[in-house]
Amino acid sequence: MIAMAMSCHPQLLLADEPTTALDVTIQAQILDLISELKKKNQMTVVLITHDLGIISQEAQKIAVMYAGKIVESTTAGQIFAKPLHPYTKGLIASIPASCADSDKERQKYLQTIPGSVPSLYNLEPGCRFYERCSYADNHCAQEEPLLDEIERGHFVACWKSSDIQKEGKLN
Amino acid sequence: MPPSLIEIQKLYKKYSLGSGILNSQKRVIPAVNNVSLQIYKGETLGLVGESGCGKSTLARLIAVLEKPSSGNIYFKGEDIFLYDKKALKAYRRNVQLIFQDPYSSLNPRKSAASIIKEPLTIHQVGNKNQRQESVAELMEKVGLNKEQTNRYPHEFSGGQRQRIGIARALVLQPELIIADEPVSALDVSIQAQILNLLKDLKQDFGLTYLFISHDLNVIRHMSDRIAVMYLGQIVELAGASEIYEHPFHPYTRMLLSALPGCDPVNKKRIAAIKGEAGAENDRGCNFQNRCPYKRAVCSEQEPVLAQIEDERFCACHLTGSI
Repeated sequence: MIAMAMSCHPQLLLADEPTTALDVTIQAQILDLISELKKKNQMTVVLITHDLGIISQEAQKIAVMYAGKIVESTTAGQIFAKPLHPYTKGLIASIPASCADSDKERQKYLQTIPGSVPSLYNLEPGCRFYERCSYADNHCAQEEPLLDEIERGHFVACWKSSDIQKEGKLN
Repeated sequence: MPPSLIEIQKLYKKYSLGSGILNSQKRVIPAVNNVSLQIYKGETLGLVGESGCGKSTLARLIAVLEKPSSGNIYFKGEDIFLYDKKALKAYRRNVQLIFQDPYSSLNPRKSAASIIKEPLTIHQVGNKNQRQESVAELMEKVGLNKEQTNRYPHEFSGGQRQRIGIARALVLQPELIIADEPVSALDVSIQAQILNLLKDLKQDFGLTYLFISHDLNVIRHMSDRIAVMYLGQIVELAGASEIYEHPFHPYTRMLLSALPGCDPVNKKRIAAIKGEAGAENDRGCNFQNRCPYKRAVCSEQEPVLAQIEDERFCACHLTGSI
C-alpha cells in the first residue's frame, strides 16, 4: 500500500488511519517507514488517526476535529501540555494509563466525555459540542463558536477558551 | 490465594491446513500450544498478544465453542470437555462472552430488549414477566434508557451497541465473562465509558473477567494479572504493575517499547523491531528470529514457562541475565 502511494513521488501523503488495524510492533515499523520516507523525499504527511499516542509521536502540528469541524489546532507540544478546547481536554483525559503518570492507572475510573457525537442530520444551532461539554452555558447553545487564534499559532473554536486558559494558569 | 475458577492444563489446539493441489504437504498450525493457566475467582486476567497469536482461540476453547486437540480445562475442579449435554448448558450459562465488533455481533432484526432477553428464553429462566423485569433492570444498569427498549441495533451508536452486548452477556448472571477485545472498535472517549462500566459491573455482580486485548494501555488499566501470549504460547505471566515496570521476556519488552507514549516532548525512541510473527521454528524458542538477545541455546531448546518469583512466570532461557 505504501509503495503504491509512493510510486509517483508525491509531495503530500495522506495517511488515513494507516496503522489502526495493526499490532503495536508492526505499527511501529510502519510509522518508522513513513517518517523515513518523509525525510528522504521531503514530503508532507497528513496523518489521520484516532490514536492520540501515535499523533503525539509523529506529528508536529495537530488539528482536532469534532462533528465535522476543526475545534482546535496547534503544535503537538501545546495540545498535550495546554489543551484549550473542552473536547481536546476530554480526549486526553480519557486515555488509559501509561500515557499519563504511572499513578494514574491506580485511579479507579477513567475520565469520560459523557454522551456521544451528535447526529449530523439535524444539528442544533450553537456549538456542536454543547451537549457533552462541562463548560457550556447559554451563549454556547445559541451561537456557534468560530476558530479563533487565542495564542500565537493556537487556534480554538470555543467561547470558553479564555476561561480554560485562565484555569490552566492557576493550576 | 483465592480459589481458581478455571484451570487450564497443557491445552493444545491445532488446525491443519489441508493439502492442496499445489501444496502436497499438510501443515499444522498450533494455535494454542501447551497453555497452562489459572483464572482466580474475582480477578481480571488480561490476555495480550499480537493478532493471530491464539488469544481468541483460547477464549473459544474456554467457552467450549471449540474442542481442544489435547489438554484439559477445569471449571471448579470439573473437566468441561467431559460434561454431558445438561451440564454443558449449565456451564455455558456461567461463562459468557462479549465480542469485539458491536456491529456484527447483534442480530439486526431484533430489538435491543429481545437481544438481551434471548439467553433467558434459551435457558428457560423465569416466566415472561420476570424476564421482562430482568431485562429492564439490566438495561438501566448498563446505561441504556427505557425509550431504547424497542429500538433496533442500527439505531444505536457503537458504544451503545456494546452496552447491549454487555447486557446480553450479564443477563444470565454468569460467573466468568470473557471479553474478547470489547473496546477495540470504539474511539477513546467511548472506550473509557465502556471500561468504567465493565469495572462497575465487576464489583456489582462479583464477576471474574478474562480480558483479551492487543491494546497494552487498556489491558494494564483493567487487569490484576496479565498473560502475554506469543504464537500460541504463554511467554510471561505476572501481576499487572510488575509486568509493565519490569518485563522479563524479550517479547514483552518489545511490545512495551513499541507502545507510543502520549508525550510529544519526550518521544520514546521506538525500539527497532524486526520481523513479524511468522512460521515457528522446528527447534528451540519460537521467538528466536525476532529476539535481540538470542543465544546458541535458544535455537536448540524450547524454553518452558518457569516460575521466577512468587506469581511470576516467564518462558525464556535468559531470564535474569538480560
